[in-house]
Amino acid sequence: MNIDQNAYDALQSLLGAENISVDPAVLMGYRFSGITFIESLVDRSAAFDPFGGPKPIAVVLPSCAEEVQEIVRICNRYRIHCKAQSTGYGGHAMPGVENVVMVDLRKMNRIVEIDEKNLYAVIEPYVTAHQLQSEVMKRGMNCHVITAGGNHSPLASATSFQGQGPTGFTTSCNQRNLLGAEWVSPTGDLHRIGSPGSDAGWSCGDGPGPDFRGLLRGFTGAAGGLGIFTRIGYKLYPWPAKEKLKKTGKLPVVGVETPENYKFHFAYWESWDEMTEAAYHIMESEVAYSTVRIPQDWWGWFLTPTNNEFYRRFQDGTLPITREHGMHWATLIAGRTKTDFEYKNKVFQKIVADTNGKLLELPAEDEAVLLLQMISPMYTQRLMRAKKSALGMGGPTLAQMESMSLLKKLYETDIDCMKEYVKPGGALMAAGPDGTWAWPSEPRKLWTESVHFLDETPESLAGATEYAGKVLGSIMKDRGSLAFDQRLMIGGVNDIFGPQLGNVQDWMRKIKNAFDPRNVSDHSTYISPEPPPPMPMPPVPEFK
Amino acid sequence: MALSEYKQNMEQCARCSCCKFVAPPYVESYQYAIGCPSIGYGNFHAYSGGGKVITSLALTSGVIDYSEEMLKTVHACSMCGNCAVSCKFNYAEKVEPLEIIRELRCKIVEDGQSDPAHIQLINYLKREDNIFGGPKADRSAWAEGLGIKDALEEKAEVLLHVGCHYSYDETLWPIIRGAARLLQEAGVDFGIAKKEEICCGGRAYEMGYRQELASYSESLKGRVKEAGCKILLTCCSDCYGSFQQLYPIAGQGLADVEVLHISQYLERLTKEGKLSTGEKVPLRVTYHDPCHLGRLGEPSQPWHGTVKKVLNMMDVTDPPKDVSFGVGGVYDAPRSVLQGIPGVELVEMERIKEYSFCCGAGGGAKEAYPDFALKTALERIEEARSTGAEALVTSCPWCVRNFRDALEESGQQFPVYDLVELVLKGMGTVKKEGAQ
Ligand SMILES: Cc1cc2nc3c(=O)[nH]c(=O)nc-3n(C[C@H](O)[C@H](O)[C@H](O)COP(=O)(O)OP(=O)(O)OC[C@H]3O[C@@H](n4cnc5c(N)ncnc54)[C@H](O)[C@@H]3O)c2cc1C
Repeated sequence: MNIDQNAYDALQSLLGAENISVDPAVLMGYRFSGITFIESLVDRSAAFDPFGGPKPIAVVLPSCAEEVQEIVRICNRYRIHCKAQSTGYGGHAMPGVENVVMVDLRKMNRIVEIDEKNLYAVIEPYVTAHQLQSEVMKRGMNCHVITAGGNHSPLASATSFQGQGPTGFTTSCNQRNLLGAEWVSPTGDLHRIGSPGSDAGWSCGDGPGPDFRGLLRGFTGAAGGLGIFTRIGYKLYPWPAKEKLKKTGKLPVVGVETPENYKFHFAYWESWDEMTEAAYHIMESEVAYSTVRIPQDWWGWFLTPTNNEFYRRFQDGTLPITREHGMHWATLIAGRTKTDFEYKNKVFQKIVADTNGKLLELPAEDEAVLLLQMISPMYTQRLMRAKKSALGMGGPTLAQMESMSLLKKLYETDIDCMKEYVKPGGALMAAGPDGTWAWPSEPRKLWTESVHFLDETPESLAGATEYAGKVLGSIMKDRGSLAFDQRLMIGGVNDIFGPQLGNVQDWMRKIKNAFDPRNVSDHSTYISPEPPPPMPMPPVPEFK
Repeated sequence: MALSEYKQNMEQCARCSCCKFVAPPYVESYQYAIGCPSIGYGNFHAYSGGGKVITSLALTSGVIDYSEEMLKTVHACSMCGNCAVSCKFNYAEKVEPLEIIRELRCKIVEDGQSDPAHIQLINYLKREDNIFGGPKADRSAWAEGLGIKDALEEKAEVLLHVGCHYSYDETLWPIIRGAARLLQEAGVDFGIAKKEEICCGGRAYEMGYRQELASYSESLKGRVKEAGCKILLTCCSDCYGSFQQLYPIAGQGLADVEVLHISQYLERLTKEGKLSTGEKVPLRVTYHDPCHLGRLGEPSQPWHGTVKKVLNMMDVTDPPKDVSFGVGGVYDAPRSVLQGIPGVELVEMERIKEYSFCCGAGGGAKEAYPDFALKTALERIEEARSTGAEALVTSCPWCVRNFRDALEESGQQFPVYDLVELVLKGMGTVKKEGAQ
């Protein structure tokens, strides 16, 4: 499909020839998606062709909000769709319908302001979390970095996705890190939301000024389906370390020296109950800066430069974290002062001792590497070294914003469901008995997701689907609803599962139609303007 | 490996955009986070390392064909290898963006889609054995009056391979003459191949001319053998990178000689007490790591093998691939030489060593897109200034020339030295005798 010549001319005269392209090779950069797992949850067969989905008709590079407004107006005028992209990590950032102009926000990459006193930054879409983190750390602050790694856009994450990440104990998740926002509506109007709406700075999302956050992003975010965010106020958090982080090791096994008044602990338990109890105490006492559990064998991917090296050490048992350490919290303690540190460290160690936990002594160089991951995670990408099929990794989310009391049940279910697939010759990767990640978010909620690796073979695909069905079905049966897995609520999935979630799909549709009467924003990862024909809930597989 | 054989690697690209930045752990500021000059120039994703991987996959899958714009995304790139270092931080050998881009360029040449500027360089190369088009007979004009041995006539311990840039760019002759004077001062038994010296073929390969690398590497290896030297020394980072990374690809690895860059040799001579820089040079400098001496100078061997699945599906290489992460380049020697000069204070830029930012001159980019080379060089000079340094020092004729050109073109002033020039300053005697 080609762009209407008049639309092209209008965009070119707005932006200049160097900021618009309709070249097929350039456009493929906005079609190819290495990771299509979100669409693949709906139609897994669609994911095999990296160029298979709808192709954009043009890509444009605006430099400011006014240009974004004008682009959206041109799209309205010529009845074409548009879709915003920040860094474009994942299939949801690619067009999901025909006749889409991709709005690549790469040139809108300024850190407009860092307010140290009020702990927030004002950022544009193409500022990455790494960039922001490096700047705010110089000023004694930190920002949230999602599990996917610091090369994503905090603005995209906070406005249009969920933004969970393992430093969530302190830095929450991005859906809650959004403060004031500047938004170009699907009709091309510019709105400032929250305190910037009344020229009162960017520090508050609730106002004074209109607060539309719930409408515009909800729980999951509209993923490009409802206008374009051009600037936000973004929450920052204190970072007590005074010195610059000193790197250790060499690429790709890089770590950091432990800053003064910091300590990394790897604590492990022999039962889920004790680990859960410890989590409650860690949350209650707020002694951790971050605390995370990932499948024990997988830590080895950070400690080794290649898969070959991982496999060698996995086989000969020389990786420091092994099966006996499955029930663990890798924890970072960060003290503001020596006294604060000593207090937190002591409390943490007491919690571990009181709950019958143990502390694992790691070789110093390994500890440094894991410490870096605790501060600026790159988990998902490093794990994809192990297996990134065209389908990416799969992952039923087991709980988001849930009670820590579910930890044991969710883990046991996952281990039970996974066991036949991770056997030698099974459908999933045989590295670890479970794929479950967890951390306490904002020391009050459990966030956990089971990640599995699958291959492109039909057997693996079938097995992975079956496994995901089993684990979700089993939890659903137990809990009576799918409310634990809101991460799935992207695009068409809303119409399948929405009825279980307070008919969220009806509300989303009302919002979409009210703000976007011409359906200009590509709705594919949000909600279609018209309800699709009724879709039955997929059958819940029988599982004992 | 032909481009199509990289299909599995290409499909492994997660489009994570790491290739646009310096390797993740080394992002230390907002300003100097960018590592890829090409995306900084063209902005569309296709300009990035990952973008070119996508282009390669689309091209080999028949999804796209050649176009002017597509070729620009490929050729406005200095092949600096930042994308590979950053990608490998997480993905190791899974994608190999630089290998793919090299193969993409070879395919472009094979399909008759070369950039006109590159065709001209190759015509020069074919005619005169150098990419500057200077007459073969003038290859050693730079050495006039220095009394340097002809290494093909008289046996010498060290064969100094001068490279095309030093041979034909008169503005750089003081550097290469100075290097020769330093060797003489240290009593090194060295010679040059005079008019028999030929291009290393590396730049041609980076532009996509595989055959030229094959033939030049074979001839050059033959000359090295004929000379019977123990050490193959070069002052050119590009040639050094070719010897270490590209000759093995062409099956012409130089295992029988020790390959050294001048910075390494100067360090050795200083340690052995054969050279000493006693003159004070009060100067605060910053050092720019040339890509071909750094990450692209890391010795590596091409891998031939298969990908096996273990643990049901994890990919491992068989035999295990020796993955080049860029850390084995020449980083310490030039710094140690600099720090050995009394009065010289070294202050580092943020992007250094394997995550250094390119000067913009490599891969035929300067010839095809001079505005790309200019922009990239100015960005680097700005970073050098930001350290508080009074001068930028590097160790590569391409970088020196590109920085100086960029400064002149933009009407700016900032001293740019080659390492050899600073050593000469530190050796007042050589300076007084005159390296010219
Ligand atoms: C392998 C993998 C792992 C991931 N892991 C995590 C994780 O751990 N935690 C997490 O929260 N997310 C995760 N994600 C999802 C994704 O990476 C995040 O959403 C991230 O925020 C994307 O940032 P980005 O800059 O790449 O945004 P993009 O990919 O560019 O955009 C994300 C979505 O937001 C929309 N969008 C982008 N910018 C704007 C804007 N300015 N206005 C309106 N809409 C916009 C896009 O259309 C797209 O739908 C993962 C994705 C992948 C592929």
